[in-house]
Amino acid sequence: MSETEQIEELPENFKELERFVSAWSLASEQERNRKRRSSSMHEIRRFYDAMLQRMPEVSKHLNGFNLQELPQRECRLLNLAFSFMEIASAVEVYSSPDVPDAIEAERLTILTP
Amino acid sequence: MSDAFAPSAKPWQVSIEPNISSGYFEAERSRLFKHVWFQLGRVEVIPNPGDYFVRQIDVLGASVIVSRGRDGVLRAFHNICRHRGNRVVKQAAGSAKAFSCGFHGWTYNSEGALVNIPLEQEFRGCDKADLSLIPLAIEVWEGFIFVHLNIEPEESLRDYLQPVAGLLDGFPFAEMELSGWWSARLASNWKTFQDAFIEAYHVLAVHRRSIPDFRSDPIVPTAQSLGRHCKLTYYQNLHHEPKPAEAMAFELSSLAFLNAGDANELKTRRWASLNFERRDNWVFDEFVIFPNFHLFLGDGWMLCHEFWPVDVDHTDWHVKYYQQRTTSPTVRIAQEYSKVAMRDAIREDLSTIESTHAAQRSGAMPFMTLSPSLDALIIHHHGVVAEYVGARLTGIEP
Ligand code: FES
Ligand SMILES: [Fe+2]
Repeated sequence: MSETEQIEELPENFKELERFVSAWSLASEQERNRKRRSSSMHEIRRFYDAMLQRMPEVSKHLNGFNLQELPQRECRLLNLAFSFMEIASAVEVYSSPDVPDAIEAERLTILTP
Repeated sequence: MSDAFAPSAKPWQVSIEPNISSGYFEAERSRLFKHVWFQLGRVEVIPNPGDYFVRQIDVLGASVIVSRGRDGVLRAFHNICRHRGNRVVKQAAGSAKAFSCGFHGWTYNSEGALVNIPLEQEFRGCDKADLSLIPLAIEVWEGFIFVHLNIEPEESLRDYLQPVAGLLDGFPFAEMELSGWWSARLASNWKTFQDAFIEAYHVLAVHRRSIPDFRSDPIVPTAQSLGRHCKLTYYQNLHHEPKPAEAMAFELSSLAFLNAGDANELKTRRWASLNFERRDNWVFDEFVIFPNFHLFLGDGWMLCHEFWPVDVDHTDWHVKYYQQRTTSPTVRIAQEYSKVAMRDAIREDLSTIESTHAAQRSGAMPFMTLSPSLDALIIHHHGVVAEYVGARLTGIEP
């Protein structure tokens, strides 16, 4: 198995989401928000549709784990779920990657640890 | 200022001058900011002996070190070396056995005592014991660290916070964990900046996209003056139809942002301090701790705004979002929804502030016209500032 494949690996039942890992499985709020703002609605929509389907199983799967002791693959899945929550309003509320009529994103520094 | 909350009150015309005048700002600096307790952060940030952080307080021209001594006690000092006044600590935070000044090497311990002077024999007759770092008063309330410039303040923190202090006994502050931290410097007077966060009237327009079906019942959130502090209670539309991600978040955890949870459950919660009126559609309480600290408390979360004046036209703002600590990945997913919703809404809030300040700055308009109910906290806050400054809230009741 090549290194990239390992890096993008998700738990057994979620293989079809692995194509989103490199773009969307991001560890920090800052990265997830930057990815959201730099993506097209088309790309966001594709990710949203795929995730929306699977979110109930994603949370069911992760439910058995402790947040502080997540294995790598579960951790990647959790970060995908976080990205889903990051982009959901782009699709459901704003119909735009970023928040319209808000202060410019660059003016707000995200210091979240 | 309680008359601002009287239902029969007429609209107020409040002068713009205090928002744009350098003279007024200087009066605020000398008569207000030097005489109040400032909130600087949570005790959890410096849990161990030797831990410290440094905060710049521009309006006072001060840099303050908050340090936990080897005895576990919290102390606050001016970040000024007793030799010739260099800043002793350059890092924003850290853990250290001692603070050593980079200019000539005078060294202080975590309790602020001067412990070493290089070539000390050349300072014959100086007693190191007289040259400790200059202390500020420091006190902790519910895990929030407050400092006062005056080492012997006119009032203890507890007295200063009355009657708010006792109201919040029982809120599980210690269970809260920092999950979002955002900051900005805006070209705005500090009061104009704060005004955007102490009324719900703007929700209809500013948040027309993010909260399109906002409906408060009662229409006017409950405003309450609490001495120099004040409080606003917000309500939500119980018939709000959640979008898919939001519905998912609420299903995963009752701790998601706008979900007030089960009203009956709320009534029995140990933090009986919230939702005083026990309304089913309660969503959160906002406590405005004078002069620059706003504490929003909801079910399983809190939001802490700090507004730091830089000069009459600029304000540094920090907001920290805390959520109930959890070991469940599922609850964290729900909390992530809430955090993003909060951050996006706050970016909407920030959109009006600089343009409002710039327009006021033009001087073309002499006064704001404020509703005694919808804008109640703004009237209250500007009034308390005016009392400190020794001014009157001008143009009262047209
Ligand atoms: S100013 Fe600090 S050692 Fe000289
Ligand atoms: Fe708002």
